Amino acid sequence: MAATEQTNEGVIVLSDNPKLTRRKRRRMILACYSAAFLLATVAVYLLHFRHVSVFRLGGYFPLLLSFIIVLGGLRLGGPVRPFSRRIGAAAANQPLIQLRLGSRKHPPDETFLDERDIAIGDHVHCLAMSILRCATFLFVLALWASAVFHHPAWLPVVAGIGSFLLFVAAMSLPQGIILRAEPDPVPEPSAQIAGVPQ
Amino acid sequence: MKSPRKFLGFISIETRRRRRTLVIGYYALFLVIMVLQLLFSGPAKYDRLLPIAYLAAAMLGGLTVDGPVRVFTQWQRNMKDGSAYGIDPVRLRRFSSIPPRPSGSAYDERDIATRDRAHYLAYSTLRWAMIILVLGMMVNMDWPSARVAQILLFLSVPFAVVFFSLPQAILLWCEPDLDPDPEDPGTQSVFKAIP
Repeated sequence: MAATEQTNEGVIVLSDNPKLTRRKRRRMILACYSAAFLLATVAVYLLHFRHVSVFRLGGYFPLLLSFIIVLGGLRLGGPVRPFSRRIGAAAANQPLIQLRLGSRKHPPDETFLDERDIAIGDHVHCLAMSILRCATFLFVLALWASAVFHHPAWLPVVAGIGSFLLFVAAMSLPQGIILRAEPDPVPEPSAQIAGVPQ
Repeated sequence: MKSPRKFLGFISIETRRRRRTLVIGYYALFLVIMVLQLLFSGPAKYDRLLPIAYLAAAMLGGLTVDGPVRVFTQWQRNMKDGSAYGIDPVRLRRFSSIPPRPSGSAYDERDIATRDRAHYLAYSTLRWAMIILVLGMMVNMDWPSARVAQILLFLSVPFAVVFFSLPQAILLWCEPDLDPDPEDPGTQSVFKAIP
């Protein structure tokens, strides 16, 4: 990936957490998407064998949101720094809890993300959009096939599971790409110069 | 981010005003088609719009080889000029009416940054659309599954159209007009006025 090739000097987009190695990040991504796939499988089982509608499983969505929020990107605190400068400005200028009833806008914090971070974030969104475009094509194709070939029993299943997985992907795919592809930071060379004792 | 400056081969989109008119007209056309389909054919045959939506959503370019917006990826460009199949693009051009592409047609850094920014904006917008869709589903959970599925089928057409065309529409909407080249100083009137 071109964007991550530019980040060999260190972890740019990720928040500074040296314990979060690439291997751990990849495991985290695998766990998140496995959980989503498992939830979708359970939804299919409930729908077909227990006749429980996917749309009645309201507990799914808070669960989905919880592990999507864990990845960061859309808010502060996750392993991926927020993609928007305005979030950084809001965090820097506001107390933790505040009633914001007005439409106060925060100026972008220029120090929060530099041009390189923004370029990486944009490129990752471009990749995510390409993947999501293919997924949407398959989803709509499945909907169309269910409707055209007169399988109304399959239509709720396809619609429910497809929208479920599309929602997961739409919320977490850019963060997942960054977490998976970002290299580990290169350790800084020691300050000791050859021949000069510390 | 553009190669041919004509939409469908005959609608000129050289100016910013025309490009914005094209974007508005493009989405308005889909809206009209959807309304007409529902009015005259009813929701039963609504699914026939989906293939049309896919075909038409690619007309803005970006994903297809010919359109007002250049194709986004290098492999698509390689397929377009035949180099992906081992064909020399120069030889292919001899048998084609398409003029040879300029030497600087590969994406430079600015093109890539513009393309990525348009995708970022489109993705952010669509993420909100997904959130609203899911929240709507949660609010209306007492509806029967078949009815929600029908609503999703109904929403899939505008969703597909927007998903496949929003980055291209953003590029066309935001692309500024090029300043005209300065005239040759020898032809300017100020020099002609000097006796």
